[in-house]
Amino acid sequence: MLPFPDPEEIEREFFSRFVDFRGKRVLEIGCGDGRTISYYVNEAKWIVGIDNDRDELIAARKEPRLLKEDGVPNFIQGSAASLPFADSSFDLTILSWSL
Amino acid sequence: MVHALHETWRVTRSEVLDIRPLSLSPLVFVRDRNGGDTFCGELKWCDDSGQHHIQSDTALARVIANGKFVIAKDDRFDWFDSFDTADELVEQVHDDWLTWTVDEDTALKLMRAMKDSGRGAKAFIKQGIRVRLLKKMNNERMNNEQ
Repeated sequence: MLPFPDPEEIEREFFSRFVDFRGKRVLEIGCGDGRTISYYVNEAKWIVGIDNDRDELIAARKEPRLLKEDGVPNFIQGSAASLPFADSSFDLTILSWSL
Repeated sequence: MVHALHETWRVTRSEVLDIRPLSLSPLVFVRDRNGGDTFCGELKWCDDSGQHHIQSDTALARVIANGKFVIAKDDRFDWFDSFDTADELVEQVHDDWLTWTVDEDTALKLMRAMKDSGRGAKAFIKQGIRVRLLKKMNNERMNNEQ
């Protein structure tokens, strides 16, 4: 049987093909449990994940793949309709399955 | 939704990566052990989420038309979820997909195809995912359009 491609591997490849994360300040809206943050956690300068779902954020804070040498990304409960950040705070914003 | 895009524009200095499923329905297949695929049907919206997808596309098109962003890259890929049995697929959609459902006709075709395909067959769902990189444009028009 033809094997099914691993969708997360494909998604990860798209992330790295579309964006150079090195040294960037990244906001991920709809970060959930941080699955897609794990794709670039070691390249970005700093990361903030925002999501409405408190339980998902608790899972993200405990996710070992999201540990960085200088700590972990910041996770905030909130909505894209009102982002608690100053203008141009981030080099890159990711709408992660959330628009 | 347009407001969320305005907020995204405001806090971003240069780029936005938008990744999400296409508004087209995910497709249900059975793959036999020789790699032959049998189409069984489409997942159906179980609420008004289909409308939400259309609204997202419309909102993004609107902010692009208003000069807030330009599309720098645009591509898509297929996301495959595979299952050993028809029941597993139906249960997974019911428990985790939330906005989608397997209708009776598709479920029947799925069960029949699994039976006809014999040992080693897999049921799977194929869903199109769109990825777009948007470049922020510093167009002040958007501050006046809300």
